[in-house]
Amino acid sequence: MIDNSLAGVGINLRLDYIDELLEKKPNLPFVEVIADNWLSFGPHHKKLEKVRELYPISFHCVGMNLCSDDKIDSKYIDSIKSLSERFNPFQISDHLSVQALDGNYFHDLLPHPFSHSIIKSTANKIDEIQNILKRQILVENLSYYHQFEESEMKEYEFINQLAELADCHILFDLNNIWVNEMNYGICSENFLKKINHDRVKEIHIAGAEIIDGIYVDTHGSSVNESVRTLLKRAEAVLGDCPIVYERDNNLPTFGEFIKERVQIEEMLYAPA
Amino acid sequence: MHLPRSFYDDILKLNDLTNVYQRNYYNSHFTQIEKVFLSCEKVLGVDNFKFFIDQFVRLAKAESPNLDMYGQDFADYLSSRNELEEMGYIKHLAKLDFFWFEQSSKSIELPFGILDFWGKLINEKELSNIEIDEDIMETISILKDEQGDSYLSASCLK
Repeated sequence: MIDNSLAGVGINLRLDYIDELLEKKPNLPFVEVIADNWLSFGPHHKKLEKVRELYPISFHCVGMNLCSDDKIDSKYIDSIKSLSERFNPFQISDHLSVQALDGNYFHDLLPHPFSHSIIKSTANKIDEIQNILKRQILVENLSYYHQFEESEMKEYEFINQLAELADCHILFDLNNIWVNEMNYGICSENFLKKINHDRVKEIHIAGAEIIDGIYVDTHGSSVNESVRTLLKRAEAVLGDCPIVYERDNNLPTFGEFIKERVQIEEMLYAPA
Repeated sequence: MHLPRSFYDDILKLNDLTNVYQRNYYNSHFTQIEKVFLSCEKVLGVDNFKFFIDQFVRLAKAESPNLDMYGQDFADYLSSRNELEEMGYIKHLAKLDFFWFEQSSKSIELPFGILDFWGKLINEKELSNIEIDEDIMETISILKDEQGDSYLSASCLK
C-alpha cells in the first residue's frame, strides 16, 4: 500500500489554501489533509475531489486517541473508513497521544508515559483499527512539554517496540524530536539513528516558536536550519520517503509556502 | 488503567494557566465560545462576555471530539446565572447564535422577536422597536438565497 514513488516534499493542505491550489496547480508529489476536517459531508467535498484528481492524498487524523485508556471510537473509525473509501488516500496516520480520557476531550495531543503496559494497550487499539480500515496505519511521535516519572524506556524504544507489536508504520516528525531536544536535551541525532528505519514511511517537518522560554511545535514559522540538516541526514539513512512540510499558523501566502517547499526539496536533493 | 490520571485531571482543573497543556485547553475552548456567540457579546459587552466564558470553560467539560460542538450548553449556562436574571432573552439569543454557527438543516423554535433582535445586534443596527413575546413562538430555519448565501427565515406558530 505504501508507494515510495511518492518521495519528495508535499504539503499539508489547509482549507485556507485549497482554492489557490486548485487554481495554480503547483508541481507537488502529493498533499496531506487533516481527515477530521472532512468528516461531515458537504459541498466542500467537491473541492477535495478536484484535489484528488490532481494529486495523491494522505490522510492525517487527530481523533484515533491511540494511547488513551478509552476504547476506540468505532463511529469515528468508521467515518475515516468511509472517507478513505471515497478518496483513496495512499496512507493514513495519527498521533501517539491521548486526545480524550474518561469521556472528556482535550482537543489537544497529550503525551503519555513510555511504558510496557501502554505499548500493549496501544498495540491492541492499532490492531483493531487496522482490521477495520483494512490497512496498516502510521503512528507519529509527539513534541511534549511534560515528562512522566512512570516512563520505563526511551521514546524511540517505545515507538520501535509498539510498531513491531502492532505491525504498523511510523510517521517520523523531525521538528518534534528537535523541539524535545531543545526543551529536554534528548539527542535528535541519536533518535534518528535508533528509530526503526524499516518502519518509517513518512516524515514531517515544520517550524517551531519560542513561547515563554519553551520551544513549541506551533507549525508557525519556517523550518529551522537544524531541522533541515536533520532532514538531510534522515533522507540519507531512510531513503526516499514522503515528506510533508506542515504550516498551520502565521500563514504565509500560498506562493511563499510553495516557494519554501521548493527550497527544502532543492536542499534535500542537492549533490553533497 | 495504564495512564497516570493526575496529569490529565490537572489539565481540566485549569488552576495553573502557565502550564502549557492547561493554557492550550483554556485558550482553544475560550476562543471557540468567543467565535460562536456573537450576539451575546454584543448584548453583554466584551468584558462581561469574557467573564462568563471564563466561568463556563472552567465548569463545562468537552464531551465531543468535535470542538465545534463545544458550547451547545452555553445558552442554558447563561440563563442559570443570577447576574443575568433580568435578561431572560439571553438564553434565546445564545441558542440562535449556536444554531447559526452550526448551519443546521433543522429548524429551531424561539419566542417572537428574538430573530429581529438577533439580526439587529449582529448587524449593529439601532435597537429600537424590539418586541419579544414569549407567548408566540417562531420557527426559524436557515435558507439559501440565489447566490447560495445562507440567511435566517421565520414563520409564526401560536
